[in-house]
Amino acid sequence: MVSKLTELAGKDVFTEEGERVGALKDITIDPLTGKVLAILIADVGKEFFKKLSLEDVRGLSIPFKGVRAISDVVILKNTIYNSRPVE
Amino acid sequence: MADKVAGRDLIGRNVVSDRGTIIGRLSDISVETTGGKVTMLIVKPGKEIDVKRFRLSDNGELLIPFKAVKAVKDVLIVNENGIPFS
Repeated sequence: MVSKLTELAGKDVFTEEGERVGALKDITIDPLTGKVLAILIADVGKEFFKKLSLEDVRGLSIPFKGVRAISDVVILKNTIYNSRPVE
Repeated sequence: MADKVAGRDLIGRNVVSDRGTIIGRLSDISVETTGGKVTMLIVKPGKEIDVKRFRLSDNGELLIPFKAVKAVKDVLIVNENGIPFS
């Protein structure tokens, strides 16, 4: 599937278990190859912080290899539980 | 060149050919979401650009394959030979 970045932004992000993580905010790109390196997730739910054992984060950066599917919504693989917060 | 860049930071930057022509301003990028690759730049054409030389989107914006991109910094430099002529 090919999608515009402006259409990807704002899509809801869920885990494979159907739990809401947040909303896709942006992607990071390798400017040499055009490869998508990571997706940035904002509006991360409070319940989800607890699962990641985090106090508070502004957002999450998930490596693209942790993304299972992007369509109407984004589904993350369970490897997200090893992810690190942004800032 | 930085080793990574946020997609939305690129939007609004000028797109310039490697022969020095300002082609336009980046309005969006298209992303192949299965493999995770940027496929196209979507560029709002500058006033003096002959749009007939480019592939166009439905709303008249220029479609430039990402593989034509040579550099990404304050502006995006694209290889003029890599731009398809319609």
